Amino acid sequence: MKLIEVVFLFFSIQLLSSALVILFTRNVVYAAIALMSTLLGVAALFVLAGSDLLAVVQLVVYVGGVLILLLFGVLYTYRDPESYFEKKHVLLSIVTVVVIAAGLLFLLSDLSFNYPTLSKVPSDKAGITRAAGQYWITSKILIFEVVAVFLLVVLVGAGWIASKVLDKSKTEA
Amino acid sequence: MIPVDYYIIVSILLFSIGSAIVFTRRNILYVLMGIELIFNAANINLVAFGQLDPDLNGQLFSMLIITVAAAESVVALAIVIVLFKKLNTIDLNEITHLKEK
Repeated sequence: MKLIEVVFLFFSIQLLSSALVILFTRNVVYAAIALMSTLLGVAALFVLAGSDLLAVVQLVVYVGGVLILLLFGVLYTYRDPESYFEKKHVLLSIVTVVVIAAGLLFLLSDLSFNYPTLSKVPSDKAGITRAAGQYWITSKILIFEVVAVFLLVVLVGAGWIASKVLDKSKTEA
Repeated sequence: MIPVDYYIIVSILLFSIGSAIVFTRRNILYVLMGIELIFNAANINLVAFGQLDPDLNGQLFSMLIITVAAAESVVALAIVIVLFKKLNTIDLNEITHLKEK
């Protein structure tokens, strides 16, 4: 077993076990922290796949943005964790995981990928960040602009939903 | 280089754990976390298959997915906050106000 495979195994076990913590814990704050661990593991897998730019994006957007937002939601809506808990929940989750994973793994065992094994990523020479930036502002500029406008709409819309506009219309009615 | 199959196995397991969270949990915030896990499983697949593509298509697409997932999470959090203000609960079993009485 080569060293890179050991590293891959380590990070996949880390991310899958923290995902299982989210599935089984009763405390939603613990679940948010375990989600952070999972996202860090996914970022490590991105690095192993030769995509260091995407790993940085994952860290900035998910761990720095989405997770903080989720933690804010957790603290804003905190209630007694036991009130959400049901006894059949654990058994039901195990059954769901096993059924879906077994089905998909069975499908995977039927597939075989004729995939070339290279030792080097093609865009290594130019640097992946530089190459991605050039693609974004040349051949994929339309998608880039659409996503930019989409993000603006989302920001305004989310601010409008969470503001007091809806409260006012409720009191008038 | 690590074989693509390993990435697919990890992503299958992550996807099944995420969908189990979405199916079985009653708290909306857990459901959001499960959706994030499913997005990440899809991203692992895209990056694993796109690692040898000189056009970087897989990685650019997965960057788009990260952006859209962040937007989804923002809107969902806003909706959760409005729900909590109006109903004082985020339990999915108690939010049944559109159901016929």
